[in-house]
Amino acid sequence: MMLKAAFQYSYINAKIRSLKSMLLKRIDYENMSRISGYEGLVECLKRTSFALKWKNYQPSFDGLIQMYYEDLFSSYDKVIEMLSGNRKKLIQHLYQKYEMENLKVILRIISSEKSNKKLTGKSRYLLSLKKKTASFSAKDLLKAKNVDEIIYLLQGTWYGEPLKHSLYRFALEKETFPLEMALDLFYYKRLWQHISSLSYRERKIAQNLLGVQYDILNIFWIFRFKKMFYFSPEEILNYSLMHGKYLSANRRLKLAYSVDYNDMLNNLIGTPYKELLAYSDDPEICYRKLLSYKLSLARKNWQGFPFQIGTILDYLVFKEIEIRDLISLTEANRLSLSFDKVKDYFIYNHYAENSESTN
Amino acid sequence: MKFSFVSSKLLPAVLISLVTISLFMTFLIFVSKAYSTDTISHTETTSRQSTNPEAIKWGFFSAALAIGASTIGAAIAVGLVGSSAMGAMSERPEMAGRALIFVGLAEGIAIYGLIVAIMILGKI
Amino acid sequence: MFRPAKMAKIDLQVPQDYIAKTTSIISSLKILHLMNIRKTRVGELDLESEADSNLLRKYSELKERLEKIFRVLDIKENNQLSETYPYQQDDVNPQKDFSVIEKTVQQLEGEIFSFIKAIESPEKAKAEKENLLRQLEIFSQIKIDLNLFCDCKFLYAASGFIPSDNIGRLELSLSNIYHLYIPSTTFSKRRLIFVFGSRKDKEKIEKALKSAYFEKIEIPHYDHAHDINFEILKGKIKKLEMENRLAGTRLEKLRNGVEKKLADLNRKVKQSLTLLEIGKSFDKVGDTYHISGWIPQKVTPTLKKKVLEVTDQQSIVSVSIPNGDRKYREKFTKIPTCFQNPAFFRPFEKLVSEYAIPSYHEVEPTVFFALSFLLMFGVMFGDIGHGFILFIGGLLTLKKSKKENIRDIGLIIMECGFMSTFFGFLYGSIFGFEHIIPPLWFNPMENISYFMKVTIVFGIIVISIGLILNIINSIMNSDYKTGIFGEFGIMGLIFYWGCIGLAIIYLATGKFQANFGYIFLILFLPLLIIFFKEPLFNLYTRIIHKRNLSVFPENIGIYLLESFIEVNDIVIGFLSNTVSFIRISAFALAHAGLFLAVFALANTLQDLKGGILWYWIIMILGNMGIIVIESVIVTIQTIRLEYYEFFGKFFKGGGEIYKPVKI
Repeated sequence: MMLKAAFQYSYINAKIRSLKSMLLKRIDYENMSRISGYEGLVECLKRTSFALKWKNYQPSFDGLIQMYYEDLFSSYDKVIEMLSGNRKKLIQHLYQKYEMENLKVILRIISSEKSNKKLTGKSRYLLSLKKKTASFSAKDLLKAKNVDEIIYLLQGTWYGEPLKHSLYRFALEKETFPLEMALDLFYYKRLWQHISSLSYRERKIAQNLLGVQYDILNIFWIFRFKKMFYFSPEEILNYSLMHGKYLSANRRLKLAYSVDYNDMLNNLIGTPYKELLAYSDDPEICYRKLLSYKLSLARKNWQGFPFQIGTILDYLVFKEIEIRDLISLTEANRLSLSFDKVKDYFIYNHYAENSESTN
Repeated sequence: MKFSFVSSKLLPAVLISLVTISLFMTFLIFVSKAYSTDTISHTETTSRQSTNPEAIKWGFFSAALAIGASTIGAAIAVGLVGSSAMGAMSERPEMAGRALIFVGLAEGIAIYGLIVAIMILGKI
Repeated sequence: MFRPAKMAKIDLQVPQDYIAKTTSIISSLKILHLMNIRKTRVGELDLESEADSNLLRKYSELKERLEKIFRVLDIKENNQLSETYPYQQDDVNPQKDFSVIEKTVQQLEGEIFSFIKAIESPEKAKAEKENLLRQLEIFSQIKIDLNLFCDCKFLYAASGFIPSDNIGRLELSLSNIYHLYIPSTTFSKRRLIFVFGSRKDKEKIEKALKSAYFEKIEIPHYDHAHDINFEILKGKIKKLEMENRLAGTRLEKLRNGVEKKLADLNRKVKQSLTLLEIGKSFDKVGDTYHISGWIPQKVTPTLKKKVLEVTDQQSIVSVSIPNGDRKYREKFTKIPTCFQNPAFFRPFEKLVSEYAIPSYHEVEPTVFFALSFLLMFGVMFGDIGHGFILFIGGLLTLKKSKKENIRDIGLIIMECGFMSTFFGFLYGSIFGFEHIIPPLWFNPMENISYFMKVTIVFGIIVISIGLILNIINSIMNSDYKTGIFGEFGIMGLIFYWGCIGLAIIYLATGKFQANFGYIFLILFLPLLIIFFKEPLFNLYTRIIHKRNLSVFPENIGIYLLESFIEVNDIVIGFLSNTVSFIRISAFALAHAGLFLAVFALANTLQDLKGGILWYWIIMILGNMGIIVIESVIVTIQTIRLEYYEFFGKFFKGGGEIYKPVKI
């Protein structure tokens, strides 16, 4: 049985490990956080594995962020190409999360009344998904006139279904919130289906790691809907994810009906999230703290029997968190913020506090 | 016509190699001549040790088993090492040399089985 | 033949009016290998041409628009068009032709897209009507009178569709409220449900239902007239289908009309794109374009003459020959390798390139590769009949096919067939019958141990040639560390031949006995020198070149361990590589063995009814099978032996292949 796993995973394992060897090390993060100015950042980047990717990007901060995203997507591409069957579908679904973000941006643009359909901010970078693995072409969708046409163009992909079912609410309320929420809920349900289609051992590993993501999202959505949108508990529960690692249905019920922040924390007793959330009041920092918990889980998985799907998922977690940190660093550099003020926004910093090892 | 910078070294390189080869050819001939008094018949006497039919039967069987088993082991090894080597090489081409050396190591296992079989067959 | 062709660097400076003509003349000559723009002098100064990248982008957009037209009209771009409208050598000037081409494309787009729109609306209307039909069909199945629910006084009732996935969430959210939930049929992933609760909780239930994407149905009014509704709907759908079919035929007519114009445009845009792509490697300073590249020294006068001719003597052509310049020797700029081999060996260049591209500074191993490949193939595949079949097959492929690659393969097959016929005569085997013709050398099945000795001797020769080539390469590049002290250098050669001498002594006398001096000088001393390769080399540079280097490298412990492992690896490696050549005899014997199997089968079947027919069928099928299987296996094994045992000794590669510019 071990031999069978070895045969299946020998190529994948070797490739993932060589990909991991090209990730940034802690010393690179340190260098980049202490440097100031665009030129310095570029010099630091050229000393890492990003030196090979300096192709057609504009020499500006936007170009850098574009490069990070393209690097992330090419990593996903490489991983998807070397898998087959159920595992391939699972990783493809993980990749489609970014497509879904694109779709949300496109929906927002199409439904807004502004005449010029320009992209601003983060959305600019995300529309660079590779044509080969993309389910739809962003340029074609941007030329559509209304949401109905988008649904028609999305035939054959799974994005059309949740949009169709929530179309009536969009027509009533005239905002894109129901569409985006429907997409999210459908995406995560489908992701759990893909995880459940794996074999028993691999399913346990994937549920362990990805379940934390479900929990993090649930906590933050419940928090955000309570504090900023003032939804009733029933609505919040209808907008929560059904699966997860520590957050069972009972716990979610109690969280949704909790009165204030401390009550929420009390309801989280028994999960590791309680200590992590008590770290700070700022939700952004708490989000990064929870992500660093996910990173430490991934790192623990990384040691041990190499011939299972855990290595692939761990590498993808490493890569995503690396890109997140890089973007934060670039933004901090662009705004010339001193490192000490913003050090809580970097995930590697949180992780390093808990362990001695380098990346 | 100007000679390119490398051809000026080609001639001495070839000369050195030719000298080396001829030195060793002469050495070998000297060595073999010094021992040519003993005839080839020595090898014959040391090879045939038994004409026991039982030994011959088991000898054939064991030679086949040696090759078969070592080949299976080498096949599994090369399969695993080869695909891992491919994976590593696709991301870091500079590891190609090292990676192929591991494949060669794995393949040598089959050769060892072959040598054992030849030695067995030589003795029956 | 043993070295790549001598190259010369050529720099052209062309005024911008002549650049289009110059590009086409260069690409039609097919001899210039363009240099990477960053490595030229102008590139290092960071000057780039801007106007052309603009034009390139515009042409790429045009290409995308044309592709969209092809998709919409459902034309397969390459095959159909290029067959009906073949290639013509036009004089294309990308800059000047751009506006004309763009106007034509725009005009075509207007025609086609307005037409497509006219077709699309009936299609959409048809889909809508079919949807409505299906919904009505569902309601006709439910026998409940839905109007009852509207009139409840104390209950709050709601009926509608909810996506099946959200049902679990809905139940969880309503778990603290008194409610009654009745699910019903499922229709396209949505479930019809009925929810009841008390009027007091109406708002909470409605909020929960809204966030669960519950779509309340408006109950249509039913009376006996709904049967008529069905018929009217079905009639409308049929009419829309007929409209669709009419539209399809009109599309056909439109497509035939514009096909020729499209093919023309497509070709022009593609040619302009190619020229602009080539032009990307050019630099523009002021009004002049700088082109730098490599060409073989022999054809320099031709290119010079043609360029000056085309540009009316208004361009400057400067030729320079690379000498021992540091930037070439240390491989900052790579000189492309142009193979120059006689026609018989040319197909093997591809096989050599598969391993690595030979660098400009080393020996080009194609000839050695070809000769050893053909010898090994002949030995493993020796049969007159089969060799003849291969020869004929290769000849036919060579004469009949048009593609360069297939012709190369045909030539290799022909040569392999010739060698195997030759060895067939040496073995005396024709189509497996080994006693018709007497063998000129020996019969493989009958002299197995002699055969093995022959192949091992062949292996020794091949490995020795590899080591000698490594020595030659190293000395040519003044790399004395690998050449003299290294494990594949002179010390390695001495050790290897010493071991062979020891083996000959064993075979001659039956015992491992030798002079103490022999063992020390020939076996132990080279290993010691290889063990201390780096310190000895540092000592050598210190004394000869008077440079102050430390004799021992920094971590002595690690260095000693590494060297120890390396020396072990070399000893075992040489043994393993030599014995590896026994597989040649193994496969030759396998070839003969397969024949035995075929004969046995044919003889058994000969006793059945119609025996002679079966006999010949089995013989023919068996021979074909043997040829196919054995040729694949033998090729793979030969290539493996070459790459791993032969090339591994000396071939470093790292060159750049000579790829001249062509359209």
